[in-house]
Amino acid sequence: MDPPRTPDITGSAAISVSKASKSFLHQPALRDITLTLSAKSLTLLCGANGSGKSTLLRAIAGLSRLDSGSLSYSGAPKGAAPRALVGYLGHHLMLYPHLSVLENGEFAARMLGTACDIGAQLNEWGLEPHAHKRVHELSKGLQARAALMRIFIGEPAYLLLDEPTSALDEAGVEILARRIERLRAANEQCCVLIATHDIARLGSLAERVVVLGAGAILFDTENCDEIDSNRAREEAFNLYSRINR
Amino acid sequence: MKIFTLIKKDLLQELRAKESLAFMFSLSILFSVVLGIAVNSALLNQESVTKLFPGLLWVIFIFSATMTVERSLQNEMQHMALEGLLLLGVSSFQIFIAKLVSNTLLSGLGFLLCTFFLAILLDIGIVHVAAPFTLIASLTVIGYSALATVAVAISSSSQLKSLLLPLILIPLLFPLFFAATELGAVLFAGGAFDPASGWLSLLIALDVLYIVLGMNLYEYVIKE
Repeated sequence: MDPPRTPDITGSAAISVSKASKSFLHQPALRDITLTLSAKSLTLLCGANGSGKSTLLRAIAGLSRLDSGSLSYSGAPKGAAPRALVGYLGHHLMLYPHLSVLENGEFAARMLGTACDIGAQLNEWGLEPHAHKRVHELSKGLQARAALMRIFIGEPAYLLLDEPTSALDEAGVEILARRIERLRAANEQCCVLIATHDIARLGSLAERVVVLGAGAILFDTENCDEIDSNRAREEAFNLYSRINR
Repeated sequence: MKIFTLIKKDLLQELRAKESLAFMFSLSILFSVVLGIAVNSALLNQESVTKLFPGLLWVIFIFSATMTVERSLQNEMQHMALEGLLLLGVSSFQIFIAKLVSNTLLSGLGFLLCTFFLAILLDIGIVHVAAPFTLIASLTVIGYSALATVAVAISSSSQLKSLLLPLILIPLLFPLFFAATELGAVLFAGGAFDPASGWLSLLIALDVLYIVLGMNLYEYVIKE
């Protein structure tokens, strides 16, 4: 039986990450990360390249295992990511290049068991003229829109996006922002975490910003104006110095 | 129902991409011609060639099918589409079964091509053994596909990729192809097909083992 698309969130914490650590070939990617993401929240995850943003997102999505620490999701057994409730977009689009945009959308809807109106989704993302084109025939930007459309088909309760604006034009970013707002309005318990360098375009959506550096949380603020790249660099430098001492 | 949709998607991808099918067709012809010329040059009598036929056929099949299945699965893993499936709520069990079916169909087509070309080149009549040989071939192709599906996923997630695949796959396939060659040799030598044969039981047991192993291992190998 398909799992429900809305988690049974009894407390305010939708996702809890506790003392999460992970290394790749003895190079630490995450160091003792503890983070609680509440229901109804939208958090931006920032930091320099290699700071651990993507690793953290993949772990939260349940696509990679932590070396130590734990993750818990409201309404799911401890340690198990409620995959069907997660909308995750990483560096790969996770689309089938030889299927059309429409076929990719229909396939996702069938797998999720949702009676979603794919035509309306295509329209919303400006993909209607490209519906019957195969994904590999589209530009990078349109492919990114198709991948995002696929993510939103399931109305995910946990939305995890890794640099979603990197291939999008202004219109695409506007559609994304609108779609996130609509998702949050439809599901008040929705928890959104976006890894990005694009604070200029996504900052207005954020209620909280967490900055990572060298796999650790440098600072965590609910006031987006506090984000200052000089301060982030300084904190990262101090952390590196402490680690390498 | 999800499994049928997955199989349909896999086959549609293969048909449209054409890469795997064209690759398999070319490899089947190429390997059959090379081995056919080698055997004909050895000036063996027809009786010896007939005895050699099943073994040669499986050698060609292993190489052409492995390269084809690897190409097909690696394409999907490069786009992280398998992870995408997990996030659509598809279980690793469903993914494995769908991959097993589509790989069996793809490899089965490859086997038909290899049999056709090699039988023509070596002048071997196969019509008189068609029914029992189809049973043996089907069981072997199913066992092969189960193991290849897991092995390709393991090798794709390793840094060695294609280099690792034959090292994992061929030793594990050895009992399967040994049993298939023994059964085929008896058939082509004019012997009667024995449904109670120990080799046939071994073939069935290996199929069950590889499928159960695949169902249990697939979750771990497609996840980082």
